Amino acid sequence: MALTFFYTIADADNDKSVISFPVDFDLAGGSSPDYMIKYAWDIINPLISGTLLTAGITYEADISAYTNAAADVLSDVQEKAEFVYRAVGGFLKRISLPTFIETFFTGSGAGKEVDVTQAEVAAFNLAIIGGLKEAAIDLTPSQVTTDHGEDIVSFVEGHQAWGKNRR
Amino acid sequence: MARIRAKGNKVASKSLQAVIDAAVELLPPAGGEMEFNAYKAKLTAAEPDLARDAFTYLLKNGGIAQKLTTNAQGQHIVMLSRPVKNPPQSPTK
Repeated sequence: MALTFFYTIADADNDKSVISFPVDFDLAGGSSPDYMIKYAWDIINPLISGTLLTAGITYEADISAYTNAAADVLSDVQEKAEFVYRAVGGFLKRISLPTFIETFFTGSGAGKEVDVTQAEVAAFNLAIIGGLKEAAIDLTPSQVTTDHGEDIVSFVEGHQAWGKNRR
Repeated sequence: MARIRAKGNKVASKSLQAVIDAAVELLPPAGGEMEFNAYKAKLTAAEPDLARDAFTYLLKNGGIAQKLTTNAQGQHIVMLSRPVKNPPQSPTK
């Protein structure tokens, strides 16, 4: 199970840098990720003179059983849809989907706005606003939030956006 | 408010607000639900000109209650129903 531990360090000017390294972590084992993140920090801490701002993990799942498909021959990661949501406190959260299917824009793809009258778009918006919930497993939704933890409460708009392909 | 205007300004057909009002009436009675695409087809058949605009307005402004659920095939689907109106607040003083 690949977990990546990260630690955001700031210097006296409040410039930030991130330490990160993958850890082959057994979630079913005895240690909690929280404990191991702190453990690793206790080893790193004596080596640095900055201050710790955030620490955490990113988690890479095994996608072998996921519904998936080969990329469409005309798909391009530069062609994106940017969804904008409002969160508690009035903050905005933007979620960008690369290789967005063009016919999900208004005018069957001719327009520049995301067409919210498409069932697949509506399902995505509902999941982001209402939280991720699998009724068969857990009735408590896992709420999607901003990067600072404010709950997303409403959809503002979605539009065509262009990005880099990171080559 | 958007209006459809025919050439020569002869016809000012339904306003968007009228279509929005009519669109809500196409939903099942209180307590009922309708699948997203089934409702969209019904609305488009009833109000072909402004169906998309009205539906977009209702979805973005909470004019239709939406619920994400899973069908028998395990697909995630959206069910629509009439919005629950806030009950009148009882006076606190």
